[in-house]
Amino acid sequence: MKNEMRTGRKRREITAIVLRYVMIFVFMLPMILPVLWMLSTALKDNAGVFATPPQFIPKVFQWGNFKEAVIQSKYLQRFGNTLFIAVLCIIGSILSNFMVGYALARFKFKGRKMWFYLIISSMMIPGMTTVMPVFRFWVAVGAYGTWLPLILPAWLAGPFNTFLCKQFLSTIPRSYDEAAKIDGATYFQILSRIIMPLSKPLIAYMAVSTFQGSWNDYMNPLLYVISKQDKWTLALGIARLGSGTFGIEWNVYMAADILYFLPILVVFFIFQDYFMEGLGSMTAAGVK
Amino acid sequence: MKKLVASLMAAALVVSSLAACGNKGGADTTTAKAETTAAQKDETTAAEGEDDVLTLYVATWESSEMNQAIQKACDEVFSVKNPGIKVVVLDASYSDYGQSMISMIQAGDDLDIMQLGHDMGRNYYESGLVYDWGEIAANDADFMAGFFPGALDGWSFDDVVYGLPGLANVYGVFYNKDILDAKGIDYPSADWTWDDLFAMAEQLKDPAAGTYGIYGLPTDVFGLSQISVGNGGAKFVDRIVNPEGVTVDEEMIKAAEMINGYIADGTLPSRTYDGKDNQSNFESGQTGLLWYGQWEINSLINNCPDLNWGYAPCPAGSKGVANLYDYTGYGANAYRTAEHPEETWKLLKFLASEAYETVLKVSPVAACSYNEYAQVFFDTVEAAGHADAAEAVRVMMDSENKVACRFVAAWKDDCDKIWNTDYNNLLDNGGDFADTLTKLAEKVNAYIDAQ
Repeated sequence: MKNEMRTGRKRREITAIVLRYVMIFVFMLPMILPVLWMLSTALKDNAGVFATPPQFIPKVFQWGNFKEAVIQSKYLQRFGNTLFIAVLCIIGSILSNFMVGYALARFKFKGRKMWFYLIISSMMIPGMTTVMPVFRFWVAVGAYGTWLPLILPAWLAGPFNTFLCKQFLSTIPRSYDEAAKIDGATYFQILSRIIMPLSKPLIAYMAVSTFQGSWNDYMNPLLYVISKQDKWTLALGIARLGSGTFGIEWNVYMAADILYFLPILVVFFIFQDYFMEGLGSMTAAGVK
Repeated sequence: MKKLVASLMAAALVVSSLAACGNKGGADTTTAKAETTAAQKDETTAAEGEDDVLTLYVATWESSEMNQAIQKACDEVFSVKNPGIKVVVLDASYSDYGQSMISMIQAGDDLDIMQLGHDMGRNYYESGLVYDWGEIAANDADFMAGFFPGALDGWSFDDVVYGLPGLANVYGVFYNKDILDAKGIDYPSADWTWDDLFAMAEQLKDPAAGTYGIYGLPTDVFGLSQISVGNGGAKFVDRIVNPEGVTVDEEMIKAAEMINGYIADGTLPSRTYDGKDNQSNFESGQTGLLWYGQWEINSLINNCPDLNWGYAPCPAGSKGVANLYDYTGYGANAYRTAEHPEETWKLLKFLASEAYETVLKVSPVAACSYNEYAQVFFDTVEAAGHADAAEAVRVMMDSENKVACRFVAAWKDDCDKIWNTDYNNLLDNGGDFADTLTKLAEKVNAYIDAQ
C-alpha cells in the first residue's frame, strides 16, 4: 500500500516536472526562434539567405560574415565608445540616484515632499516633448558633437531610479544609521559603508538597466554625434548596416546584430541573480 | 560636514529635477524649421591650413562602399580641378536620414550639401533649409540642358531650383526566367504592352494557392496614371511639384475598371495587400513577376548570383510608354551656402553628373540623370551579364512621357486621406467608377484651391 502511494506520488511529481518543462519550452520557443534564425542567417552565404525552401541549418557555414560585420561596422572602435559611455552612465546613475534617494529618504528638510512629488510627476511628461529644448540646450552650451549629452544626464539622477532608491532606502531601518552615527560615522560614510552594501540588489538592477538603456540608445547618438564618425556608438554603426538604400547584406547584418546584443546578454547572465533579487526587492519596497 | 553633504544632495536634487525628463525619448523634428541658434557659429568659410582650402561637407544615405566611391571621385577628380576645395563625404543612416539632416542643420554642424529625394527637397525648401539655385542655374543654361527629359521637373517649380537630380529611379518588371520557362511563357521584350503584361500575369496566377500573377504593381491612382497616359489619357497631376489640380478622364476610368477586374480575379493583390515581402520572395525565387525599381538590379547581381532573372521596362499603352519616375539628388544647406555659393554650385554640379562616372562603376544602382554620364550605369550592368536590364532602364529613361509617382506638395497628406479610402474601396470592391473618381477629383481640386 505504502509502495503504491509512493509510486503514485513519484508519478505525479514526474508528470508535474514534465509539464513544467513542456510549458517552459512552449513559451521559450517564440522567443528563442528569432534568435536562432538570426544566428542561422548570420552563418549563411548570400544564396542561402533567400534559398527556397528556407535552410534552418546553413548548407555552407560562412563564418567570415562575423569578420565582415566587425570590419563594416567598425566594431572594435564603436564597442569601445559604447562601453565607455555605458560605464560612465552606470557610475553616474548609481551615485546620483543614491544621493538624491538617500536625501529624500533620510533627511528632513523644508519642501522634501514637494521635491519628491516634483521628481515623480516629471515622469508624466512624455520624453518626446523635451527632445527639442534639450537638443537646443546642448547646442547652446557647445556640447553638440560630443558625448556629454549621452553621459551627463545619467549623472543628474533620473526620476524613476530616484523614486526606486527613495522607496528602497525607506525600507532599511533607521536604527542602522543611528548605530553608525553613535560610532561617529558621517552621513557620507553611512551612505557608502552601511546603506550601499545593503542595497546590492538595487545597485545591480540599476547597473543592468542603465547599461541596457545606454547600450541600446539610438536616438541620442543620432541627434548629437551623427556627423562625427569617430564618436559613433555601436547602435549607429549597426543601424547603418541595416539601412542600405539599394539592398542589405542580411547575413553580415545579422552577424553584426548578434555581436551587438551579446554584451547585454553577458552582463545580464553575470548579474542575473542580483538583478532578479533587485526586481523582487522592489515588491518589498512597494514599487511594483 | 553634515551641512556640506546636505547641500550637495540638495543641489543634486535640484539638478535632477531639472534634468529628469530629458533622458529618454525620441522626436520627430522633420517639420521643424531651422532657426539661427546662438551656437550656429559659422565655420563655413573657415579656411583650413595655410593654403586657404575650403572644406565642403557632403552627407549621403548611400552605402559605405558607394560613399567611398563618391569620396574618391571628389578627391581624384573634383579637388584636382578645383584645388581650393576639399570635400568630405559623411555617412548617414538611411532609416533616420531626415532626422539626422535636420539635427545637423539646426546645430550649425559641418554640412554643405545633402542627398535628398525631390519631395524631401521641396519640403526642406518650404522650411528654408535648402538654398534656391534659381538664378545661378538660369545663368548656367548649358549645364542644365544636359539632364534627361523631365529630370529637372522634380527639383524646381516656378523660378525656384532647390537642388539638382542625381540618380533616376524608374520602375519596371523583374521576371524569373525559370518560372516563365516552366509555364511555357516567352520572356517580355523591351516593347511589350500592358495587354502582354496582364496576359502573362493571368497565366502565372494561382488563386487556390494564394499566388498572384504579378506582385508590386502600383494600383494607386499614380500607378493607374501610367496606364491611362500610355493609352493617350491626361496626366493625373498637371506637374510633379506643387500641382495645381488633378484630372480624371475617360482613360483613367477605363484603367480603374480594368485593375478592379484583375484584383477580382486574383491576378493582382487587393489594395490592402501587404507587399513588404515582395522583394525577398522574388530574390528567393518564389515569384514570377515583380514590379520594382531599377535599384534591385544591383542587389540581384550581388546577392542572388544563382537566380535566373531578367528585367523589362514599363509596358507601353496604345500611345507609347508612360512610366513612373522619381529622382534622388542633392540640395545645399541654406545657412552655409550663402557664404560660398560658387564653390558649392561647382560641387553640386559635379555630384549630380561627373561623379557618377566613378561611383556607378562600383555600385550600379541607377542611371545618372545627367545624360553624358548615364552610359556608365548601362555599361556596368551589361558587363555583369544583364543587357536586357540595361536596355529596360534605357527605354524608361528615354521616355518623354514620364508621370509623377506621388503628390509633392504641402497638402500631400491631406489629399491622400481624401482620396485613399473611397478609391481603395472602389478598386477592391467595384462600384460606379466614373462617378466615384470624378467626385474624388473634385474634392481634391477644391482642397488644393483652398490652399
